[in-house]
Amino acid sequence: MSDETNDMEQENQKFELNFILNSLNSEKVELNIGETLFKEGESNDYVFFILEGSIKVLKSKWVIGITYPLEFVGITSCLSETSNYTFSSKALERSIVLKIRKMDFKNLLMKNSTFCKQIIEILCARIKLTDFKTKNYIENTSKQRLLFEILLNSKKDLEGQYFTNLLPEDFSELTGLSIRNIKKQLNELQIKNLIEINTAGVITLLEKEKMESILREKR
Amino acid sequence: MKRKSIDIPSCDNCKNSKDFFCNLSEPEKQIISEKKGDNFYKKGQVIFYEGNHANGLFCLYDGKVKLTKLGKDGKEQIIRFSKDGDILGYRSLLSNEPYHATATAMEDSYICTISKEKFLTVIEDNPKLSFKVIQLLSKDLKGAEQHLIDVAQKSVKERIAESLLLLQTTFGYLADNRTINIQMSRSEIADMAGTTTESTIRTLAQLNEKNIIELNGKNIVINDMKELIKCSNSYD
Repeated sequence: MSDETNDMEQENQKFELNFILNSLNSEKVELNIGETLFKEGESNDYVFFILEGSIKVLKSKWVIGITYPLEFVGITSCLSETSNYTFSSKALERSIVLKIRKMDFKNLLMKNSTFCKQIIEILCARIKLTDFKTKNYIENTSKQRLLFEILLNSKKDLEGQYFTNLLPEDFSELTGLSIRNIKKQLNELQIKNLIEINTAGVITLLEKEKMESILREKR
Repeated sequence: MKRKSIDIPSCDNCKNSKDFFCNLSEPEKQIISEKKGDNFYKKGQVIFYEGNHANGLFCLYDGKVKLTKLGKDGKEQIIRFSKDGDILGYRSLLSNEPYHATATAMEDSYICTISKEKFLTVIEDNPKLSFKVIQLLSKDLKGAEQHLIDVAQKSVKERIAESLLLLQTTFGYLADNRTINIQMSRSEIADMAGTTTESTIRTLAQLNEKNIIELNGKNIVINDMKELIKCSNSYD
């Protein structure tokens, strides 16, 4: 599927989900960079839907992943039998989320089949990604692990160029590699003209296809 | 694939009916039962392959199944297990994608097959069943995320201990209340833990020496559950 078709589908989904969720008595919450959304162990009274920005999801000190607009945070805790969040979450950048009461979310699932389908799609995609990430850890070299996270967390700017705002510290948390190792790898990627890092630390992907090809190489 | 005809009852009389399909009404269970296929799979036989077109849902009436993904180097990675009452292949049907993993019988197993169309129709018409699917997916996601953390963060010993605990939680014990109710080869345990067979053999021998477990061929006896949990460094 082309990038343009993907973008259009995402826009349609966003409109649909927004429309459905705005019918609930939900609250918009703004978060500054680094601000905690919820902590592991707290009572799981809410599910959060990301409207803007990005949220880091952590288990103890380990970053499971980063969630972006159109995604939910806290969904597995909400649907499980536990009464507490089993993960923590923090804003990676300035973000806006929709705060939905757990009961409202569950009631909506029971009544609205369109919403159910959307959630099913989201969960299926997340499981697929998580299995893929696990495979990445087991099979790949440290360079490939970093490339995987760079590619996964990059987005397209208005000129069609892929970039990521994540810092070496973020990649370290995502890959389990040391910050020193990450910086060394990023420097090597820059020397090979695969990426470019500007003074603000933004990483631009210069050769996305080549990076994807390195990722497919056997160990 | 079909080895012998067995007497699996209809869905409304199934011994596992308290699980996934319990929210169906009697007429809905009859619809599912109508064109349900029953198959026997010998130990080691493949039920479906990763990458194959998903055309049916599989319901495990009796037996044990492992789900594996193939790595770049041709090595298998065990991602999940299924026991009596579990359904397989639903994620592929729901996301309209090929099967995400290969399902293989770990012992002689009896499996019912339900067509994709019937399954999706029943889900569409039954909000409670849709909700149950979502809860299943959510549980799978939680399991997948925990596995990711284990592989990325834990040492080999911790991962192997965690794998043994997972086996015990999934399949329970035999009648002696100490032997895990599944036989796994060392290489299968290695696949689960994301490590080599050599490391697995070494670690199991260490746990055996400390009398935390007892190795009895392919059977594993848990002598000291508390100590095994400590070795796994589990968060929950």
